[in-house]
Amino acid sequence: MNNSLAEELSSHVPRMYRVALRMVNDANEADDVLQDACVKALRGMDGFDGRATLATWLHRITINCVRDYIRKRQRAAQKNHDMDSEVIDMLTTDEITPSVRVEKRELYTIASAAVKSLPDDCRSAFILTQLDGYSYDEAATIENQPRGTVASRVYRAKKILLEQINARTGGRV
Amino acid sequence: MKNEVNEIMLSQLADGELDSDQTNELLLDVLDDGDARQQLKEHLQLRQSLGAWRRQKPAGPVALSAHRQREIHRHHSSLFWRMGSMAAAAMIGGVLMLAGFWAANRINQTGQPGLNGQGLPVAVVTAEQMRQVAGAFALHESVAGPLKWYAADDQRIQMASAETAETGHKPVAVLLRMTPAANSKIPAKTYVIVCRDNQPATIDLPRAKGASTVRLQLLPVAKNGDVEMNYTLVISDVKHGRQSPAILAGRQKVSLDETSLGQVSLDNQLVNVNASAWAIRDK
Repeated sequence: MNNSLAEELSSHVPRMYRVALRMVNDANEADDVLQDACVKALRGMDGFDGRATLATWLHRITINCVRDYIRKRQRAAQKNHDMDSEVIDMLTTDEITPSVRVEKRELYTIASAAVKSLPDDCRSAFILTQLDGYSYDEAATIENQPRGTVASRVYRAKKILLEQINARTGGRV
Repeated sequence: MKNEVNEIMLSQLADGELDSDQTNELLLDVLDDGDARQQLKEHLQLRQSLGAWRRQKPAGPVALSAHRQREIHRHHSSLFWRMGSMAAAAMIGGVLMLAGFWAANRINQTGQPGLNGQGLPVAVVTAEQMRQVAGAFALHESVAGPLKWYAADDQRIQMASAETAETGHKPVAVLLRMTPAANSKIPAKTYVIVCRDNQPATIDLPRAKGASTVRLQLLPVAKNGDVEMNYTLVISDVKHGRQSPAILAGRQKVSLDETSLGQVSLDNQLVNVNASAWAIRDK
């Protein structure tokens, strides 16, 4: 348990938060999950044997904390991957002009809805790399797949999404 | 740019997943190919549309509510846990500070200035800062168990476990600030200390390797919103070969407004010692 490990762990915290936020769909609840995950990670750090990468290990802890949290709160499974309008509002409040904000919001709404319709393998690779912020290598470790497979799945996901978005926006993207 | 392999490369280019040579080569191809340019634009726009999500960060410091601390303690009360958890707790501090969640320096920078009796500006602890300190202390206790005291500077943490009898005393936070009295390149130093109300504590403040030892003996008594502080600051300046330690002792009523405790010699310089203090309320 040394400083460099602590430093490395701290760099993963925002990503752990995003994973939690995506799954619980509420900023306050995501904070709660993150707190749990941080404490569990720090407690278990001595037992981290390095066989998994730190990113994979922390991702697993975060996912488990989210599941525990949802189970405790008896939340409907339907809410897990929804990104409701409140979250979308939160994401677009920093845009400079109202028109840009509206456009981004529309694009984001379409994209997030389309993500749900992706095939499972593509969706998972897409979410890890495009929403959670994992690199392709980290996503490959988490998914236990070769990097090339992840790259291919991400590409397929994007292709499907772009087709759907272009169809709905009249080719603006 | 019709085959899928190149399109996969475009996707990776938009995600910043290619090394510089691959990026360079692909961009040269793309510049000569109208279809590829359009595809790359779409990939980049899709990436951009999700950028706000990827920039999401937790809004505040990681802090645990009191009920969660108790939950954790119920499961981890063995001696083994307590011993191992001190290291883990020290690491949490590192994580919090390194992550920018909570740093002692930030407390100085964000303090709202008021005026003291002489019309000079003084820092006033804000509600947000109080929340940060309470959160950091709660988080450390959640891992290390009840603490007798906790002291942190912007890089290091020291703490000591509480005896059973001490846990009934509410925690009291003290911000101790040491500022060179004259113009100096040495920056002001802030310590965040949490100890127990009406319980004496001897605290070796965190220090860099080879730096002077600063030992604080403190007895805080919270009363009517203020904290009556009995204190002795003992500084052993080994580096400059000083034989006898410099000592600052006294008794002051301290509140959220920064209050002067006096001056003392540190590293061959005269420093002003100021403090703010408050009782931490259980959430």
